[in-house]
Amino acid sequence: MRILILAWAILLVLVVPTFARSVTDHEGRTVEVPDHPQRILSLHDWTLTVMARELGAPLIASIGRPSPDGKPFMRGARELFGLTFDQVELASLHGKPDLERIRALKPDLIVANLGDFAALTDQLSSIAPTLMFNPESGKPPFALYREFAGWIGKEQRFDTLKAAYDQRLAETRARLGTSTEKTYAAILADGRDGSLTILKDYGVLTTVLDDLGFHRIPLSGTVPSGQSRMRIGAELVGEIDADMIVTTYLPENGGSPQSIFNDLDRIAPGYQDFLRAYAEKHILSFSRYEVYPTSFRGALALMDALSGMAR
Amino acid sequence: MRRALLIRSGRHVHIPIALRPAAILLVLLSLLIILAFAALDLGSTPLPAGELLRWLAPFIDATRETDAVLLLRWPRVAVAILGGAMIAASGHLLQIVSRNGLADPGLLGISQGTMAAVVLGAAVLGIPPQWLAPAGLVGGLATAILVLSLAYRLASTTGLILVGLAVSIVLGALIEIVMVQGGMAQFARWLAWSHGSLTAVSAENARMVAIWALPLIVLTLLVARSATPLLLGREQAAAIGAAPQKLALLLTLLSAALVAPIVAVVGPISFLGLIAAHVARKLVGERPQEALPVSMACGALLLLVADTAGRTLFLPLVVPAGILVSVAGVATFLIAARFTSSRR
Repeated sequence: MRILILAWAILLVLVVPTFARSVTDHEGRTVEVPDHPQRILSLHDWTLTVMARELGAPLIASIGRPSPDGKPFMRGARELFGLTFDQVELASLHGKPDLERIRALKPDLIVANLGDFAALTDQLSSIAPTLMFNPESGKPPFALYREFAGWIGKEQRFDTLKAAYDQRLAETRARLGTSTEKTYAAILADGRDGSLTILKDYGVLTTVLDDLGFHRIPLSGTVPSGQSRMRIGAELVGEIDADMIVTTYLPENGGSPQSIFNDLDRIAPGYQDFLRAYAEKHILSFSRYEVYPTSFRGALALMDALSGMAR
Repeated sequence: MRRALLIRSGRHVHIPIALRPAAILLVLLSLLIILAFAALDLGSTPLPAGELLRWLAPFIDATRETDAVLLLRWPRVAVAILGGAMIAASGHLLQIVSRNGLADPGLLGISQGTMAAVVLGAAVLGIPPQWLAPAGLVGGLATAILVLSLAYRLASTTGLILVGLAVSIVLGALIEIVMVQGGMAQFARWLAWSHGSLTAVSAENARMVAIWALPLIVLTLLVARSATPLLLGREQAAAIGAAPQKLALLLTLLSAALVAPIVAVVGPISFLGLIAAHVARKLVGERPQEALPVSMACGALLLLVADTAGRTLFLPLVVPAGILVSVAGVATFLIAARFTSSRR
């Protein structure tokens, strides 16, 4: 009898297909993927690598970018999780894919950004099942994140993280009290070329502020549909007058939370006199790749910073 | 008197083959075969030469591993050879038509015309990928005719480069507007393509390029001899009974047809036509029937070397072949420009 059960168990193992699920990716392709992938290779750092890492997926390799010292790093994953190429393999450098290197890493699932890799779909699919992710599909960031979690079999982990986020959202909203009825403007300012950009959707930054109930300034509604940002002239700086102005800086380029004040000074001298957010000390600047990638860690860090504003 | 080998077939077919160009062409083709073997053997994944020979040998099965690795390599090697030859032929023909040694499909705006048609076709009109090469051909051809007619009105051969550059800049701006309209992701995609990289070349692309290349290369070799009168200038060509206007139009059409499928598949490879034609003329002289085959062999060699070097020498950085060719091309362009001006 025991031999029969053992034989039955072996038979079951043999007949259970390795590829158990069909997934339709953002390119509209239906791909057979492993039920529980064990060797995921990510071809986009601040979207796919960040999400896979936060979901605790078995990530074996990621795309990287060269830092000024020549060592590759993973944008977003480095800032949020301290992930380095000592922990995962380098799949290729961003924009310069090495298909042979990707193949040599023997992934059982490749996740790639549609914008960068659409032309390589066939070649990547010849290496391993490949899913194309489109962060610019127009869906809300956390809806895309939930979809991605489903692709790699990590919906439960996503739901746990989302529940914690919702709870923290409620707490922060309570702590901020009436301040969530206020308006915000999300901007990017570049003092070197004098450009000012109004952001309609900017990853976790705008998602959290919207979820907290802050109201966008009317100008953000004029960003053309299908676009997430719009460049405006310096003469329109008065239009970004809001209770709170949020922006980001790039530490790797020598940026800091103070950079926005220097940039605004160059773009719109005297802004201190007509921007309410300055008078109320509500011009907030965050490290870009902590609040731009879609991650719950970034969202929680942002809520911490906003709670500090209420104190 | 040139030393020549005469091949006779019957009373009417006499094919004189000059020995020096034939010997040079033979050396270049031998070099191309050796480099193609090296290009198939080199890459991120080590591949024993014995395995490669098994893969190349008919009736012997290579391992699945070798098949998989070479499926990533052979299409780009094939496209580098065919594409290099086609771009070189295109550049050489344009130099004959324009009587300007600095002409190149990139400098005359033909590459940009092809690119603009491909970008507009894909991003705005939603043309399927298999129709992008014909669309590129129409764009390249229209640009070539526009540039030639504008330069003709200026009645200046030196003005051709300026007109070509002006049209290139306008088309480049148009391409950028389309790229930016599609958002950051699309911009990144077009930007990578515009560098001229063979990374995304698939077996299907290689087949498509081969289908275009074979008749066009044969046609180029057939018309090479008849292009000789254009070297004398249009008036003198007409005086000896040639039809320079028709010939120029045919060669321009052929030039655009040669470059369009390559731009559609790998993006623009600037300066390749310029370098290959200059090297060929240095090696075998001006006669198109001798210089064009040598030019094609040089173009194939250059693009193959650039692609192989770009994907093996700087790892983990993979440098697009278009960038390496451009670096070599700028140097050649400056030398050629200096040489041209000092002759004047």
